[in-house]
Amino acid sequence: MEKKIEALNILQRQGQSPLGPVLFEDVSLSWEAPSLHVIMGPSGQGKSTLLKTLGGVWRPLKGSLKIANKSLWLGEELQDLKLLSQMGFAFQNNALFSSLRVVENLLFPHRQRFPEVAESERKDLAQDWLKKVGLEASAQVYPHELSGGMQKRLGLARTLILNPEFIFLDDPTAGLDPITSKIMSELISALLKGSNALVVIVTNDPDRARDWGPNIHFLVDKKLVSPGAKNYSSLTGEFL
Amino acid sequence: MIAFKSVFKAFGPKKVLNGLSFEVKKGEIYFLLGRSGTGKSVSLKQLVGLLKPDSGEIFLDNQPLHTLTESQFGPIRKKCGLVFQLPALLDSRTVFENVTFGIRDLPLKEQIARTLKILKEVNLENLIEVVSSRYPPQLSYGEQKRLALARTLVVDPDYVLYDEPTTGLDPVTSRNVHKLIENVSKNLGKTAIVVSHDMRNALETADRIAVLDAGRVVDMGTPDEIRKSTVQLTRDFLADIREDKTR
Repeated sequence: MEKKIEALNILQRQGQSPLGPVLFEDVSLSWEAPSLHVIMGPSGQGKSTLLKTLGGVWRPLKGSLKIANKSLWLGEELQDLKLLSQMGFAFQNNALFSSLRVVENLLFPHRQRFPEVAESERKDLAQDWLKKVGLEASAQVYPHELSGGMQKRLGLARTLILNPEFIFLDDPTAGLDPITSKIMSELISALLKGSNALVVIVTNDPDRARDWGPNIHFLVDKKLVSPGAKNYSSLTGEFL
Repeated sequence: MIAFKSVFKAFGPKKVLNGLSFEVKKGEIYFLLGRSGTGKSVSLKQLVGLLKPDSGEIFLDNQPLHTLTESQFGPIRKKCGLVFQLPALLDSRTVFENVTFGIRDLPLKEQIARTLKILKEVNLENLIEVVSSRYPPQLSYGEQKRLALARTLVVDPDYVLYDEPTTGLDPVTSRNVHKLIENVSKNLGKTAIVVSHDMRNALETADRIAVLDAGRVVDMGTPDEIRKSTVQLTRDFLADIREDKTR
């Protein structure tokens, strides 16, 4: 499978409503694995929406989106659910299940996606991932008992345990103090080292963007501005 | 003047404030900086009576707050306006109704005059024509943050307490919010306490910065003093910073 995301003139509106204000339009890109792309830009102007659109969470209202050379959407329906199973998404608010313990949160999507895996093997995998993200001592607690940084690490592990080909991380250091943010950034870099995945990260933090650069794109005034564009260097000065 | 003297606060077995002491002078922009969970927001909540210290003393303009009952906190809350981390606006109320929520008991003419003045102060002149027809969900996030600040300022507090005012904002909007804090403090003569993680903007905006660790102040000084600090936690906060000297 060719690990590639191709967007052609995609448009999205606020609330995915046909009547909502346009968040971005004419966004075209062709990103191939293995690579890491960072999206920055003003708050509230559609960075997370673009990430969710590229990740198949939301349908673009205009334009076409191909994942691995296949159109993701046919009209309003997802055309190929198997493509979605190649994607891993970590949400900005972590989207953890408050009534499930840490280890159950970690394994929830894994159980859905890989029902054939034996429970003993799944438990070993969970132990391995909890260790990787430094949560082995917290396996049996509930999300509200974790600090903000620990919740972020759990959300990340829950995404990466699926071994996705396409990884989407929505502001993985949002709300963390700079020291915890740096630790999280180093953890992400370590976990992705040697990965063959296509990774897209939204961030507001210039320090983190520099950590994950150089493929830094800016969503500004409804357009995606990528390295090489004529107004790119002025945006670099403004945001970085 | 605000003074915390040896304040302790625990939630169950978790000790959050461990003898916290600091003083904020009138007219200052004072930053409380520290890692998550070190008691920064808890301190702000104690100033407006949302939390009580277990021991220690808190003074506002020489008036002890630690001995006040809930019903005695009314005038204090008019003196100390709290700006929440999230805008916490009322989505079903217009811009005008949101701004004037804390001054509903004043004559309408006075409410209008104050609203016009304060919207200009927080750079929301563009909303003046539409105060009665525009609702928070129709505003950008940056506008919502400024509207929340307007709602706090319209009550005319002496002290403005900002709880992580730029969390989740992009660097440009974040810089603008800090500039706004600076302008509001200088133009309106307000004293500001800003709880933050953001050392870069603290260095540019603050008169003084206190660095908290495990519920107490481990370092304090002007931005220049903080830049030269040898305290390890302060050095850790400074490590990631690339200050833009052109700003």
